[in-house]
Amino acid sequence: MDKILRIDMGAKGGPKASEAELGDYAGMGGRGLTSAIVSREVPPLCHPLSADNKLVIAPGLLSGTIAANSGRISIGCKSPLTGGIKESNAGGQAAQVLARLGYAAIVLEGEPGDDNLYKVVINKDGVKIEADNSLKMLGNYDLIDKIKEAYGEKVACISIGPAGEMKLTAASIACTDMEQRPTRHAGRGGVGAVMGAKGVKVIVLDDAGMKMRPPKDPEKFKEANKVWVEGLRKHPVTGEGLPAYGTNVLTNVVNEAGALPTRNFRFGRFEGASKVSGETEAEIETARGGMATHGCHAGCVIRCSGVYHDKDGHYMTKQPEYETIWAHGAHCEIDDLDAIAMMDRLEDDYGLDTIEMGVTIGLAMEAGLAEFGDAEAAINLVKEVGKGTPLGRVLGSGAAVTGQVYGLEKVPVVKKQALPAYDPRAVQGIGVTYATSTMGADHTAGYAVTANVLQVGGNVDPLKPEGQIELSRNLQVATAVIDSLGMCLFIAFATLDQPETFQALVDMVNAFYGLSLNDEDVVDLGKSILTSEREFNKKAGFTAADDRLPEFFKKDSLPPHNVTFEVKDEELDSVFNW
Amino acid sequence: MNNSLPPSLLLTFRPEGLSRFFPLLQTGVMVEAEVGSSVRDFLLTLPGVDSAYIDGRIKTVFLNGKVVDDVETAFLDDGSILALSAAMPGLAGAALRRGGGLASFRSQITFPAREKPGPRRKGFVLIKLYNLILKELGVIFLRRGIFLASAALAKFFKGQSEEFWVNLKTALVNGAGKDAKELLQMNWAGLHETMELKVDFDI
Repeated sequence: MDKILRIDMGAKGGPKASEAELGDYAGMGGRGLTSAIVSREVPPLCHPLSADNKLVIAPGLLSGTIAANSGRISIGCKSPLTGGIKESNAGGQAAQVLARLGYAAIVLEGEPGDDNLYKVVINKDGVKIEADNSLKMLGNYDLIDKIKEAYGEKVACISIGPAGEMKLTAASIACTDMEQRPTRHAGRGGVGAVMGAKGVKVIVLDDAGMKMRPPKDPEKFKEANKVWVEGLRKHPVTGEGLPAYGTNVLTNVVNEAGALPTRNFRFGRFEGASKVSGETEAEIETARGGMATHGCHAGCVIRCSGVYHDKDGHYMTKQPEYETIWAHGAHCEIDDLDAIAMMDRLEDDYGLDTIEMGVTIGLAMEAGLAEFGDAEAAINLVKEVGKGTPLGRVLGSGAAVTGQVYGLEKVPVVKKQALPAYDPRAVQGIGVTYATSTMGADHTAGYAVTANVLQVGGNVDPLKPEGQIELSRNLQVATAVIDSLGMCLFIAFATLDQPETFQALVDMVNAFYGLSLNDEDVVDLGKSILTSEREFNKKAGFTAADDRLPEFFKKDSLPPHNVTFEVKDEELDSVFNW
Repeated sequence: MNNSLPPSLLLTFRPEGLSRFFPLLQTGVMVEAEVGSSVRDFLLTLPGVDSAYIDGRIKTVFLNGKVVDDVETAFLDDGSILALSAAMPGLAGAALRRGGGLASFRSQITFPAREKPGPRRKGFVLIKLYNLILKELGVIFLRRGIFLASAALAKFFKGQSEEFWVNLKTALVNGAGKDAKELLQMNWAGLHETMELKVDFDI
């Protein structure tokens, strides 16, 4: 991982690839690298779909090694959805394979001077870029079937569906999983539209003949990874809860807390929650011959995913995650898991962010295009997007656009990005992160990662309400670091509770790169990433007014606890004061 | 209104039948409890549950929909709703954890600690069980006995597939043996508005 592959899609005579040393980007990976390249090389005021924008695809610093759960890939650009900087990451095989091919990043630059759609193939012998218009408007599933025929069952793919080709702002980028299915998506922020604007349909990664990346100190690295794996396996969340039920284990609990946004954030509880809960989902998957426990990439020891079969026992989609279940479930008052799984399948195929789409369908229901609870109508609305009808293009442009087109007042977005599955009135600290994240409303921007261990900004009494600003700051800093390592965020729970597991993570980084990083260095890295992202957003025109939740969260109380969002604006403005 | 004691229904199942009761336990079932006792004291009355289990396993507790940080100072009232879960993933999961480092994130929905409970007496609480706790305590509550509205029981039986009935070994209604067909056809509401259901498993 000592080089960057740059592909100029607008080069004279057709797209051209070149390799460069890391230079000033040495020591960076994942989100740290994507945000650094975007901050330094993309004009903040450029149009996100123009030649000036760049799409940066970077595995994490530990990807391509034997480190467990190091398979996240970061994809960065100026977001066509938010207008600010974006890093969206995904699981699947791509990070490991790209890292083993030796690339710290692929940067797609410029824009093609023709209407061709391109395929990029990278293997040990180099890079080939070919126009392949037979791929035009293929869904991700059909696309990967064709790639499989041509390149075999071991390659990993990074691709867009029709939504990306149509440059819709809810478009995602898919990464294939261990079964070569296009189920792992960098969903947020419309990154798929940027790939579409670059004219690239698919990047095929073939690491045949390549080896695992070697650590500087193999013995120490191996030992640290052993402690790391033991820590993940022994923790009840990463060793039991997530493997058994996946992320959807949260539905029942968040519902009980009165924090499950229901009927477009009107209520905090959904009557049908238990019908779509992780417990119910796991039972259905097992009974139909699917799988309730499954990893999304080789080397995952948590295995929070699964395989969802239809009533006849045929593969339908991967296990829909909590956010997907919520967005299409409680938010739209749909309590039919099969219908939700079908929407998940369609959105993976069209290449759409399931959070953005679910929230948008709820808004379409609010606007009267369908009744709340009407699963069939919801599926048909998703199909409109796949067909590219005028209505579908509105919906595929996300919640903010749909809300505007239909004249809705209550549109749950921050920086035009749809809110995820936790009502910020019930869990106000999450609201702080939603409001202030550089990415727009994002539940993964301030994860429960090591905040107490790192103590960024000092100790916080967890039982006092005034600690929320400091905690959100700590979490956002720590998350930026984890996103740079290529680590799955679900490692958070083991590192939060088990100091030896957190230490094993630091030891792995040090042993791999021959470094001696301490807590302070880790905090500095997180702060520097956030600072560069904030700076980009400021130059792109963002102000403090963009770091706010929609007004209705302050005005409308949320049943059953009848709470409103009470964090003051001046407190939100202090999150990044360091 | 029938004020007599609810009739009892005792079922014996093969272990494979356990999961069929999970939907009931997720949405909530009434159980007998000494109201006025703390959540901890109530849980300690369950066979096999000790303080190590409560502190090490039941990491997320809701009383009447509010997040409990201290199971010593959260007291049960008649009709209380108690929901139990293991530690949860996600930022929200960590925030909802009792006494966790992110408790301030949800201070508006935290259960307020009470110093003085009401007098202790027999009553009923609605129990909801989730995830790992569902599997581990579900059997215990089913064996000890849960109370269901007769209409809910009839609906529960009617919603079951063939597999459920295959796993049923014996059924006794107030001591009298019944088969699957009789259970399905029985006019439960005519017996009483509430039924006590005990389920045993060959585990």
